[in-house]
Amino acid sequence: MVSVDRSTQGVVRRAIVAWCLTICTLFAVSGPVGAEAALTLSRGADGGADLEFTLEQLEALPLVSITTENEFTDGLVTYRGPLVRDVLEHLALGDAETIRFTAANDYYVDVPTSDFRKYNVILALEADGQPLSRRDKGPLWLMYPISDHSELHDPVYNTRLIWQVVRIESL
Amino acid sequence: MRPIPKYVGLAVLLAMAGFAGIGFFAIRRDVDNLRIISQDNLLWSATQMEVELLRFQLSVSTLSLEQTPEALEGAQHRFEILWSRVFMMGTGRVGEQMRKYDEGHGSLEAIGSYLKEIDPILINLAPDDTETIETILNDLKEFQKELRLYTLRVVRADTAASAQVRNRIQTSSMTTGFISLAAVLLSILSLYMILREYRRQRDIANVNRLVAEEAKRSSEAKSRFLSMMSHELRNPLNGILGPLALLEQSSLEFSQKKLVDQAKACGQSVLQMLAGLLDYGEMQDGRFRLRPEPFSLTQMAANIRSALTNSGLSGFSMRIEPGTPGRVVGDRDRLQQIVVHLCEYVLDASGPDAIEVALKHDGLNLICDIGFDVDGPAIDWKLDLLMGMSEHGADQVSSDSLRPLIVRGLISACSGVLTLVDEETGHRIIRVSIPAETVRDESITVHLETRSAALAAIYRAALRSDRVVFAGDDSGKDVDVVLVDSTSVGGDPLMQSLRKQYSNALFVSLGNTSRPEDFDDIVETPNDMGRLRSSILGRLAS
Repeated sequence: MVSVDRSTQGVVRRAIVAWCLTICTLFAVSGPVGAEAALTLSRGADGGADLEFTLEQLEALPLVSITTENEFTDGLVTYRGPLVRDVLEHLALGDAETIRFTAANDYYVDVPTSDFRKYNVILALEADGQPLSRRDKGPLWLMYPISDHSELHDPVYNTRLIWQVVRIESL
Repeated sequence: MRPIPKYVGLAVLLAMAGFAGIGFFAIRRDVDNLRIISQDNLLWSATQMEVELLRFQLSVSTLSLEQTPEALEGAQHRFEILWSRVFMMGTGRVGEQMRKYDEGHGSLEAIGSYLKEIDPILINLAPDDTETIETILNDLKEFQKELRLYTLRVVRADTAASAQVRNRIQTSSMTTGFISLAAVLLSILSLYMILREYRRQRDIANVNRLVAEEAKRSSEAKSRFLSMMSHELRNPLNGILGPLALLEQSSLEFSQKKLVDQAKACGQSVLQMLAGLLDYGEMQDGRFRLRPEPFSLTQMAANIRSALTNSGLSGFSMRIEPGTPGRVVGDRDRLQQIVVHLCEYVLDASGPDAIEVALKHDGLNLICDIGFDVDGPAIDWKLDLLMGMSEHGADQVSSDSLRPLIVRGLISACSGVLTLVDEETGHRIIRVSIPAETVRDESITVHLETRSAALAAIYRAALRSDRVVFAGDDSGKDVDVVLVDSTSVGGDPLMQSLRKQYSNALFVSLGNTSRPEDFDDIVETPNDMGRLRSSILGRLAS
């Protein structure tokens, strides 16, 4: 007879809840048939199948504008897009500690989710009112409000401004 | 020990500030260098450009082989990514750095131009247009070499920049070390200067203390001399005033009497001044003591009037305001001195036609108002001198400031206040307010028990006043004090009789007694009237 202690029961219970959330999210965020996927979500090794999102689905979330400068553009630019914390919450990833963002050229960065709780970090869809094309580092560019927080003028945050984001996954 | 020149301290301070500034900027430069070296991640951008070119080449090769719409879409996808990489050179600080490494070569410009050239071609390209595809593949080979050389330049420049930053940091570290050493040396120097200055200040403080003690001893010696001289002068002065009083009682002609009066007035004035000087000397060396006791305001007023009349002041009037208690507790002699000095000072200062002195009590303080008329502003500076507000140096003993000095000293010793009241134009009031408790307005009834009629007469004469009443044999219950001449009476039967008759009275033995337990107080020397009066007045106070 196998004895199950209290901590093991808790892990099993959380796994069941996570599985249920995954199934619910799968149905909730599945994009329309035929639409081009802009973002792929991987919930990690134990998270099941990848989820794909269209730009329309991302645009359906509350959009936030931030005006900031960065190392790759001239002067202040107003970016618009959903808050990353909203995206993660929408995907039931609010409890994740680190998120890996991967670009179209396989470049990736690992970002602690504390950044998203502390700052209004967005997945920028537009720059100065124009949709971000792939040529302009789009369609998704992870953008920090650098000009609003002096501590963000740091190379650590500069390297986290990953563009042409195609995939996010929880670690 | 010589003081450290101020410019030495200033130089040390400036040196420390300079070193601190150099250290701050050195550390700041290090931080900037580290920030720049970590932000100049251009090597990644350069290699990515080369990699994306290869990926695009690969996708075009795939298109050449497969000639399918999916392969064409894949090539277009890689083209856009390559585009985004190449045209990073157009904007931002990173783009500026990228252009900088391409200066004199034009590799990025060339590939940028080529991408713009084939952009419309790729949009309209058919998957089976092998000729165009082959042309693009051949063109891309040329750019492969250009981009590899660009990457090499970036690598070398990055290495050189890193070496430069390393050298700067080494230099900064050496500078910081030197600054730290200099700061330590300057701190030691500063500590030495502080200790040296501390010792110098301590020596100065010791010298100052010795000087102050010497000055205090000198002042005390002068005060003692002043007191001694005052005391010594009073005796011969009394020797002059006594014969003058006797001379005044003899038959004199009017002119002679006038001369005697004048000499007597001057003598009294000198006597008053000597008393003031004696008090002043005692105040200076801390020996001054007040002698508070109940006294009659009427009696004090009479004494002041007498003193001022002797001083030759004719238009003097004195009154006690209605409602003023008849007796208060205070040092009557000093209060008299204060009022007399003030009146004489006013007299000397302006010579008014009349001086009015009014005494009253506000429940806590005895208030004496000295009012007089003034002709013009000439007296104002003397009043300022009196109040201690003059620029003429009121605390320096000069002929004008002697009385103010004594008066203020006496008032201060009595915890009083001296003020000047401007009532109306041409009229001034000098107000002296001194704390003085009132005394119950009751008389003391004394019964004297003695067999000596002469002694009884002496006691009655010595103790009689408006506060002491000698009772007859039949007023037993009202008697407050019983004086018993223990040298002639005091046996048991008599004492028992007196105790029974005056049960609430204070029993005072005049002279030593064999039964001290029968008495509340014993005056060992019967003719010590002062001691006897104090005993009776003590009874009054209780």
